[in-house]
Amino acid sequence: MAAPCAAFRFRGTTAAVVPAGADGVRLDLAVDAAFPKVAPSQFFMLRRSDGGGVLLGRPFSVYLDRTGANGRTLSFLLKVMGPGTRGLSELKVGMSVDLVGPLGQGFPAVAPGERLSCVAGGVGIATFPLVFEAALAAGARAQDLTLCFGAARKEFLYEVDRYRDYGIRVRIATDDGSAGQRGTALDLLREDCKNALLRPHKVFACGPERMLEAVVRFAAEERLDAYLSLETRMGCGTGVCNACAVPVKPASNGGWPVAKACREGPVFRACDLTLEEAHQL
Amino acid sequence: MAVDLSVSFAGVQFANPVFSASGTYGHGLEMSHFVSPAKLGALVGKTVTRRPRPGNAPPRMAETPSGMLNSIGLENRGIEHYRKEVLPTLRGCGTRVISNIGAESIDDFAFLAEQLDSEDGVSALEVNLSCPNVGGGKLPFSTDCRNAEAAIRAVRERTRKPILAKLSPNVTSIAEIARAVEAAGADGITAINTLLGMAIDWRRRAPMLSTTVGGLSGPAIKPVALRMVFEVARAVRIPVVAAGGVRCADDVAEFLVAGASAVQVGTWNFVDPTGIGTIVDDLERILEAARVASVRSLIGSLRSPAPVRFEQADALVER
Ligand SMILES: Cc1cc2nc3c(=O)[nH]c(=O)nc-3n(C[C@H](O)[C@H](O)[C@H](O)COP(=O)(O)OP(=O)(O)OC[C@H]3O[C@@H](n4cnc5c(N)ncnc54)[C@H](O)[C@@H]3O)c2cc1C
Ligand SMILES: Cc1cc2nc3c(=O)[nH]c(=O)nc-3n(C[C@H](O)[C@H](O)[C@H](O)COP(=O)(O)O)c2cc1C
Ligand code: FES
Repeated sequence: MAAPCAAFRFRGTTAAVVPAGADGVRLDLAVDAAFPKVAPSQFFMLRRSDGGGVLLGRPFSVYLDRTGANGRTLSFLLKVMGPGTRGLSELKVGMSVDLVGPLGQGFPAVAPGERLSCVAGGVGIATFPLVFEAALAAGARAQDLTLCFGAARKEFLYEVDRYRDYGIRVRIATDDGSAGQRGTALDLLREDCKNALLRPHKVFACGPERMLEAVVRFAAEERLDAYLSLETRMGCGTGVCNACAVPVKPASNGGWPVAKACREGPVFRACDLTLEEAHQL
Repeated sequence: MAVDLSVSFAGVQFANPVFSASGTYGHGLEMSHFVSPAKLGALVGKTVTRRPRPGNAPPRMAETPSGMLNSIGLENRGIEHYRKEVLPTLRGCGTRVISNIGAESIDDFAFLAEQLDSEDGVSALEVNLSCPNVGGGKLPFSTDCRNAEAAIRAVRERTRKPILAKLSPNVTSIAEIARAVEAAGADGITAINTLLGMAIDWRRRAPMLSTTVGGLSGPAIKPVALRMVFEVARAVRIPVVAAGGVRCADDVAEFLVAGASAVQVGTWNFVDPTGIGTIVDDLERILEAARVASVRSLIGSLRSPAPVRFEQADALVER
């Protein structure tokens, strides 16, 4: 039965708002250094302390978590979609933001020796830097980690230069061929799967609905162990509004046919999602 | 000067008049890390039904100006699960527990009342009348005096616990429904549930909710809720518990002045999971600053310049 939500509510201060890609920003928030560790691909509900013209917070994956001379900084990568993301992208240095988190269950751990492919579409990339950092810290070899990063155009490959520094395999695709090869992130994975030495043991994916749908189908055909991070619409993030329902196979969820993306997710194993869900994603 | 925040009604004493609203705070201890349950006047559970209900298809919510629409569809695992798995965790939680029940038939209301009557940890039942009356032609119990009366009477016959009848605002005269449930034996009235509303994504020519229409809540509905609480409090002798758009202690005080004996916080819990605790602290602070010794002295203390005749109010308002 629903255990208490273990997250915290706290205030962050805008340290920087850095333009990213054609329609996004990286939002750096200075937070208390004592704030507990954040697991990769967990998320936070973010709301400007002045409301910023919206009522509810919005969910965002934690993008970076750094402790330096200036203290602790949590970063988020935001694509401007509507009023909530616009308000956050217009924050000025020094303005405060209310955070609730860390929330949700992230991707499973990667065992050393396992090959991992991360399939990112557009701003879906935001969930992956900490995944790579955690895998490398846990002893994974850089050559076993692949990023398949796809976007419509070059301008939507947010902060793409960051990933080469990890030493991992970085593969790029754009719909119009303006960077990397012409095609989709899934095309890159498809190619790797044809080579026994590159075929991943695990696939993690985050991106637009159509991409995730295609990943679910491909994973089923290829019998790949795939996990998806879903960007379901959320009301509370803390498990009490029941807005974030994801239809799942009951056996994967204590006998119940709907999971909460904010508590049981946002990461789900592809084979646990029901087929109707693949269409509703 | 310490402010006395306690209120007492329907034979139950509450440490303060700030309650959670059904469906916005979980069934049990989900929010207990943010705010100790002991801080609240009462924990009101999400609607529990006789059988498990998986709820509506997504999307189930959409934000609207100063509010939100929801069409959750009463997702819950049913009364058996609630009694076995949820209520035991609430024993000794430090506050009053109010269980909210919903049903699509009189029989199921009676069944639920009987099931909970023996649960010592439950201080009162809140009866969600905004469910379709499947037996009676799919209209909600809440929109018809006879249906509302029949549901409350069925619950009354099966339990000695205090009953709060939770009313829908989507009616012609909420006062008439209030009088009907009072006559049927309700010990109090909770007002209001969500207002029917709609949101459209015109580019996709599609509704924002899978159910097309949904329930509006949040600050946007507070003026409507205040008017309805005022209207109901005038119409009946039993106490009124308010809900609708509360986000701060001043809102709580306004509802008390309008005639509420306690006030529920709903949508605001989504905005700020610690907010309900802040509201309790602030309530004490603002009452102390205003030299109000007891929260009870605020209840129904509105000084109305002219008597309001609600039957005619619509025609009197200038538009
Ligand atoms: C766990 C999780 C992690 C997320 N991480 C990130 C992230 O790191 N970076 C990022 O930019 N975004 C992320 N999102 C998506 C982000 O929360 C939404 O883009 C944001 O809520 C939109 O709010 P808005 O007010 O700007 O737009 P709205 O006005 O709410 O929406 C604009 C348009 O986007 C659609 N929309 C709204 N919410 C979503 C959603 N959750 N998914 C898909 N479409 C939606 C609406 O239907 C509408 O058409 C994440 C979502 C979840 C659930
Ligand atoms: C997501 C959501 C779920 C709700 N679920 C229930 C419910 O299960 N039973 C019920 O009686 N009221 C339910 N309500 C109504 C609230 O209890 C409350 O009456 C209403 O939202 C108005 O208060 P607010 O503006 O503070 O949210 C729900 C409201 C919301 C927003
Ligand atoms: S977002 Fe409210 S329950 Fe998941």
